[in-house]
Amino acid sequence: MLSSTGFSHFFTANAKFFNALGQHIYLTLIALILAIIIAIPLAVFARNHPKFANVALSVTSILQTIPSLAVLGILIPLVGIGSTPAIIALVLYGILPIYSNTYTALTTIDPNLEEAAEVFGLTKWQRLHRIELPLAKANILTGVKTATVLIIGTATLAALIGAGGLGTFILLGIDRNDSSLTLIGAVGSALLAVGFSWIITQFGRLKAKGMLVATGGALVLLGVGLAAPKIYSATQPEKIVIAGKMGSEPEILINMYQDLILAQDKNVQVTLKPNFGKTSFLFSALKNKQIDIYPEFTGTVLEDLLPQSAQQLDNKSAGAIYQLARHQLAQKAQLAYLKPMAYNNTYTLVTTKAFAKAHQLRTISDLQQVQPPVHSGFDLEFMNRQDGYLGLAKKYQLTLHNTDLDPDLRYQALAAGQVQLTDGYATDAQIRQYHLVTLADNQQFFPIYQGAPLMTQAFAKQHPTIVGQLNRLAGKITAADMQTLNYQVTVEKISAAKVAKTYLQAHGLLRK
Amino acid sequence: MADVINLTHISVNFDGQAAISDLSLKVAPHEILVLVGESGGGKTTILRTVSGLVQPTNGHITVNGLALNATNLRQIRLNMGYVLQQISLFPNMTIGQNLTLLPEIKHQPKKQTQQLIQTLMAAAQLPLAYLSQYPSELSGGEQQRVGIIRAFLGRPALILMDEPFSALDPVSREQLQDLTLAIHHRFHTTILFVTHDMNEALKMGQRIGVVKDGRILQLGTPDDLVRRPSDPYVQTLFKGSEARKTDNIYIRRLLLADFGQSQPYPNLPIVTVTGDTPLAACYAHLAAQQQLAITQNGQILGYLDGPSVWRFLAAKAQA
Repeated sequence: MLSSTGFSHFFTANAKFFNALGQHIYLTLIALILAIIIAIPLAVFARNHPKFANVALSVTSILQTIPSLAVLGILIPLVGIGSTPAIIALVLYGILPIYSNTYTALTTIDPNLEEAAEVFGLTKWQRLHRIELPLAKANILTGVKTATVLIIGTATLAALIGAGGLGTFILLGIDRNDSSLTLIGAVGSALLAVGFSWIITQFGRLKAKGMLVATGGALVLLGVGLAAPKIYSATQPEKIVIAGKMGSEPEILINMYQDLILAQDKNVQVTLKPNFGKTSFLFSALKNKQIDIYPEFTGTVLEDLLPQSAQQLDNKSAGAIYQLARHQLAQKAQLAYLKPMAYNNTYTLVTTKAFAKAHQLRTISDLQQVQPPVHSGFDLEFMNRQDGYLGLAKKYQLTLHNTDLDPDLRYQALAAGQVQLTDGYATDAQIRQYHLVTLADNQQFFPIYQGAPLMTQAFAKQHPTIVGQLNRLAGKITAADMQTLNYQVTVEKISAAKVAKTYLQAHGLLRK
Repeated sequence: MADVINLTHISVNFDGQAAISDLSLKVAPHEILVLVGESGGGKTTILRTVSGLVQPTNGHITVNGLALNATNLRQIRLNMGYVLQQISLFPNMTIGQNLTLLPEIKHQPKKQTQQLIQTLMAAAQLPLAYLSQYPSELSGGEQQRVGIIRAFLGRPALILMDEPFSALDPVSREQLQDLTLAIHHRFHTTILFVTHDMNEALKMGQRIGVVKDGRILQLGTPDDLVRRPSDPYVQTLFKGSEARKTDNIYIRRLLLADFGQSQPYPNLPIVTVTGDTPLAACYAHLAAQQQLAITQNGQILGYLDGPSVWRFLAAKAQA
């Protein structure tokens, strides 16, 4: 299922693609070289120390079984965000195949050859580099190839923590339900893996001297690549880094933040890091001062980041929820939570205009009287959550006839009339795209998710003008507004920067 | 001249089992000393003790006058050639690289090495084109020829050979025995040679030690072992060898079978015998390091030395 708009989007944005490809190659090369530098000497040492060999094999195998996302999560508080934790995680993954192949190759060399080399009077080092390593070469290269493919694949996750790479396209594609973007990322990294394998095969055919020259060349190139951005960035003034989670909505919001900040002070250097991935990564990154601002939801703060008991949240107004979140963030994390925008991006139930009209539906309670029971298409996760369908059905005493649907397909199924009701988020672009209506949560079952800028208290104190500017968004942007803005970015493919600016100007927040 | 190898009261235990018991052995410069015996008798262990692969439990070893210990080990090994039954050319190197590896490590002059390679390749009837090929491209016999050349190439004082030809077919085996003898004839490198094949022992050895249960039962010339066995086991061992059955062969037949030569061997005293002398009557002369001039009607038909007689016997045994 490829949309032609996706591809044209790609070609107009191919600078973005090559940038991501470059980042991917950079991450892969550094991780691979480090993995080789660690794994081969480790294997050489392990060969003569069988006890150590077993321990090393177990440790590297265990490392392999830790999900890469978990490794990234563990690393963020320790080394922050960006390419450093990505490279560390990739190196950890690359070590096992290289280590185990090298170790196996070295320990299975014909003992007669080992004995001959020893009796000929070759020193340990001479045996290693003249005989053992050359004999193990084919196996080592196989290990390096496996590691490369693994690293290139895992490096797509680097996008989650702001290290960029082709994963950006994959995550963006998943988020925007645009399979051509995902495909570009996936095919790109697959081709990269094929390319790397080919280069390694060619490398294996070189003589020892050629190998040294090639390795030296690669290191020099890498060194230049590493040094260049540092030299460049050394001349830049202080930066404010604003990040956003995966998706069009955070990207639009952080563009608004940028516009508002720059409107007040042209000399500030603002860097945007859109599509940053998981909430927990952003939250640690903020606490570790890797980023300065990111938009967060009140509901996310109270449900996930600093979880509160159910009775503390029950029957509270949006304002009270915000106050609770602000208080908790200030107390427990020394963070400043600015005033929220108008819209509440919570779960909602969505139906078609025609169906709503036919059954006079405006609220979720109205669903009770519909006979025969409404045919719903919820996604599996919503279906099985206490704060999803399970709790909802209890509270509203609903009986629905449900078909489990993939989140990507439920809006299409609704629009095509295959189901009559589905779950969604209040600001989903598809609501606008398919001309759907949302049912009001009249008994306030769903938690409230209002967005507001989050920053450290220290940052807020140092930048009162920025706080003032961002607070101008307080109470602005309704759910319908946000649906439209999301629609413009994900469906009409207008850049988030332009959508943000147009909105601010139209609402008198920014001079034209 | 000092002994090349001197083993004094050597014992080797593996897991408490004696593999070698109180064994003493001296190998003189330039000789080929063959250790022969059944497998498991300890002959290979003796060889591995000399090469430092096995540590003796007791006793003292000197090689080229140096005590065999951790300090001297590398120096001793660099002056020692080694040929194993399993062909041990390094598969990652060409034949040329295999040959030059040791001279390179020992920093021998390249030009001299190259000349020697050409000479030895010619002697082994190997084309020089092989130098740029890999071991896997050669037959087993050819590879082992390269192995022999490699052992001599470093011009070591001593070469250890552990069943070097046992894995080869009879024809290749004989060619390689001849090649080894020919190169030895040229360089006079001391060789300690291990085999389980009595006929190979008789052909190759100037002295032969019969090894059983970690001891040397008898050490002597081929003639000693065949004709004057000091032990019933030695007698049994060599009873089946061709030597006894050929006692009555006329010495003339060896010349007819082309085992001698028309010119006298250098540096060996000449004893004249008639062509119809039985072979048995000639052994004493040969054992005394003399060569035979065979006459018929006052004409000299040709000359025979000890090794050529043993070659004949070995050939008969294999026929």
